[in-house]
Amino acid sequence: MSDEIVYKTGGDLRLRRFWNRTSAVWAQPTVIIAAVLFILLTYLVIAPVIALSINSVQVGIRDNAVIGLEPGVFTLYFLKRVFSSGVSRVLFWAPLVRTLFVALMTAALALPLGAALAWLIVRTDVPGRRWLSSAFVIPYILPSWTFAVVWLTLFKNRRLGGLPSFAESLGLSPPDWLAYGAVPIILAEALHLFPFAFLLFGNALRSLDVQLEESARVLGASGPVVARRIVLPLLLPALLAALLLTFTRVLGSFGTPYILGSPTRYTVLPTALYSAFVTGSTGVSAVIAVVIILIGISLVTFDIVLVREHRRFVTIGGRGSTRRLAKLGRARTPTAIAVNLVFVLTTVVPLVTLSLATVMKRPGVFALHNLSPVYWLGATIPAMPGQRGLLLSPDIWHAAWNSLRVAGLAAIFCGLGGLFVGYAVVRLPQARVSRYLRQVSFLPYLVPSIAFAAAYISLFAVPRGIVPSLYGTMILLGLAMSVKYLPYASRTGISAMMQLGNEPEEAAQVCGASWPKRMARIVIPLLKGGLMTGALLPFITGMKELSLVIMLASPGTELLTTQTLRFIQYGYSQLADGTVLIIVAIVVVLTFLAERLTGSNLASGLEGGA
Amino acid sequence: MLHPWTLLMSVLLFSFLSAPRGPSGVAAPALDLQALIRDARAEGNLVVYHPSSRINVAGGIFEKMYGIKVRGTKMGDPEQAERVIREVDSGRVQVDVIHHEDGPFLEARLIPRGYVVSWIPPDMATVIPERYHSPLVDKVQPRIFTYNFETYGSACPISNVWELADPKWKGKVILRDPALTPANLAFFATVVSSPQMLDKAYRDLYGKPLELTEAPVGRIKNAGWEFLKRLFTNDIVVMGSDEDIGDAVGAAGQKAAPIGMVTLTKLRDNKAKNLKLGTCKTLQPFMGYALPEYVVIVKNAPHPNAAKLWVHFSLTTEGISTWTIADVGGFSANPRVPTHPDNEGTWTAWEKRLLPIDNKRSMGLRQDVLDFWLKYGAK
Repeated sequence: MSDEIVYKTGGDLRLRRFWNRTSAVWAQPTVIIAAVLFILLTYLVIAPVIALSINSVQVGIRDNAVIGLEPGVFTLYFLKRVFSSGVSRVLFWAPLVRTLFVALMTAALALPLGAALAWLIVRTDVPGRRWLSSAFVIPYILPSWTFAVVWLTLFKNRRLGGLPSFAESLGLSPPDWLAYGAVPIILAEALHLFPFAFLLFGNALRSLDVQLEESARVLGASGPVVARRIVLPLLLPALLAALLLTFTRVLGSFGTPYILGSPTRYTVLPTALYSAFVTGSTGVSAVIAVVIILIGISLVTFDIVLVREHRRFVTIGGRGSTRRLAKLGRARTPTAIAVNLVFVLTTVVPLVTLSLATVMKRPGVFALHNLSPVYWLGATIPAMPGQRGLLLSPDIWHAAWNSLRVAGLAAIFCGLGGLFVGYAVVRLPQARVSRYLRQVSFLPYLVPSIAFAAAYISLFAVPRGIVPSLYGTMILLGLAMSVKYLPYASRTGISAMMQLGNEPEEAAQVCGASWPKRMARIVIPLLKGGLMTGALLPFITGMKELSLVIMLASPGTELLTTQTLRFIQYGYSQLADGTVLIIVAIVVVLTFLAERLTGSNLASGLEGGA
Repeated sequence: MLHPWTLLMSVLLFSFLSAPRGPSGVAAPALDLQALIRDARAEGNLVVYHPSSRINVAGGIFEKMYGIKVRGTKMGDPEQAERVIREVDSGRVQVDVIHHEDGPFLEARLIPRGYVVSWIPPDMATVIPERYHSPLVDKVQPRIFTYNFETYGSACPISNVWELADPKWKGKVILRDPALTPANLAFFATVVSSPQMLDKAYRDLYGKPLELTEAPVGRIKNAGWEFLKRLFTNDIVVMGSDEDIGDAVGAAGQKAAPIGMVTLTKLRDNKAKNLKLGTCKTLQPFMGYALPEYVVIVKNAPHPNAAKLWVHFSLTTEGISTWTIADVGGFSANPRVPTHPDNEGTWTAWEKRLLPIDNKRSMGLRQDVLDFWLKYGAK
């Protein structure tokens, strides 16, 4: 009897304690936000990768037509086909080797170029430094495959057929190795990606304490010794970061190798994934996607370990007090010419080529009778049945509107996502959950774009439980983009919250301000700048995204970028070139406006997030 | 004066012969075209995936006739299959009708698994030859080897398909990428299934028996596999579209123009783009293959009546004229639709020089043919 009472009271107590604790927890909105984010991020980031992995050992409906097993049956057939069969060299090993080769060579070109330019602009008196430091970000702002399209317009040969290139119109016939395959792919990727190295090295050089170098000099070290023992180790993190960024970008890049590699069947992993996907080998494409993800994750892990090892030795002291710019002396003018030439080659030449190509009936024939506005303004276009000039084409307007909507959705989601992830990660008392949220919100960054899209198709193409299928919807495009770009925003959000600290909010709480009020009056206004950058970057990146959307867009949800690829596939090169120009115009104007509005330099955001 | 019995019998016989009949011989219900047009109009518009960019031209004609807007997208067979399966499985179907050229996949998977339905308008059942009924074909065209007549003169520089595998034409034979063009896989499968023909052609050309070196595991070596192997390893060039191949073969001013396989309709670019494309008329034992284009309605199509009306339209002169009358190259499945004067003969005449594709047998060989291509053709 008494036992029972004790038990009851104990139960009551326990219950009350539990109730008190939970109500305390639930009264604190951070926990609710964290709980929602926990579920949402797990679903949007982890689940797609799991679905993809399952796909790699499961028969798809189109696979079934070929191998005879019923759809849905589990099998190791695809693993065997990809890794050790009569065709695995063509399907996987050759593309793998090429991908690594292209990535290494791209880094070998882009890093020295970016580093040299950074050194000239930060450390020497080369004229026009201010202007150039913005100008060299432009190649990154252009869609990554702009250079590929330009290259074909300039150098393609008869192997590809279609309209002649500029070179052909001049009576030249570029050999295959120059027109297609490894050489142009590496060049195009390097020209697009050198701004990473430029920005990272530039910032590292700026924050390098000159006194360190000077002290070494005073102690009698020679120039090379200073470079080797002082400067290089201090620049190592920047070097590694640039290497990593370049490498992962190439790993997930689809447009450039597709456009330049297809004519000679120079397949790399992203294009191998795509062609397996298109030809209905769902299983094979899933296996390749998983491999790409694993490479991406191991690269980043490797980098994190290296940097952590490295950081133990390096503490970079503040700002170099008075930095003397190296005098170039007699070399000043030649250097200025060389540096400006890089700008001309990476930005002016591509854009001028594209513009010219869109008004020429036969590319590269500079004659008045060859010029025509028909590709921009024609009601019909000769030899392109059913097409209208770009500015009159409802398809283009529709695609532009779609691009704006999807990128806009991604921007809003990332802005809010960044805010909430930042708030939850910094304020949540439960360290383990906080760490999980931080890591999961960063994970999409490690998954190369095309593999990310494959994962999204695996999860969202069929109805699952209460979630209907999102195949062919704008929502799927917007969702994939939002989550893929979330790392830009969540990083900004977390660091901004860190700087904000607890005090202002606590003070408001003491004064009786409710949580919504605290958010609206204190947290959001203080975080505004960072959040804007965190939202704008996804917007601009989204406008020019191809690798991520190529498998997700469908005829109703065509974007400007996928429309460009369709034109290339049809052989309508003028229309493709013109659409690229439209994208460039939108992105450049937006970037300019964004910089004006936020008063910030987007380049700094690029470097932090991308 | 006719005997009443004779009269009665004549009437009966006449009515029996003239009554429209379905495939089973049972009188089919007549198509109420007016009702169909009315219902289709109520649905407002139509979405079509089609292998040709001229779908927009045909769409314009349809819109002018019926006031129904057509959104046509040019799309190859693999992407069509991918989209249709995803759309149907997801329950969010966006496309109504597809014009599909991958007959084997259509017959082996898309139709049996209910992704698409082949529907023949009842009033067309007696008009369209029975062999085009199931699945319904709206047009047929030759995909054939072509050459540049400016470079080589009035006769094709090759007369035997084995020359395509000869070192003389190394790197100068162009095909559509078989990995992306299933019809070419079906063509290869037919080649593999016609070994006697190729064996004889080899002896005719070289005057010696053919040495067989390879076939996929589990298959018997024959002249077909041998032809494919030698063709693929002759640095064969592949392109993504017939447009590109036509341009590459037919461009003016070439000294050593390649030979390429395109649909006959590419000859239209001789005018539009000043190409110099000629057909290899005397090529033995075949000029190319007969490529049927099927038209089927997607399951749960959002505009089912407009889709039916479109299928009907595709079998009429107005609907198919874009490909068969306005331009050279296509032949309507409807024998009453006139053909283009430059079509170089009737379809019956063409068929004698083309390999026919056997959908069922071709599906059984598909994986082996594809892997054979990947092994020897792709680098």
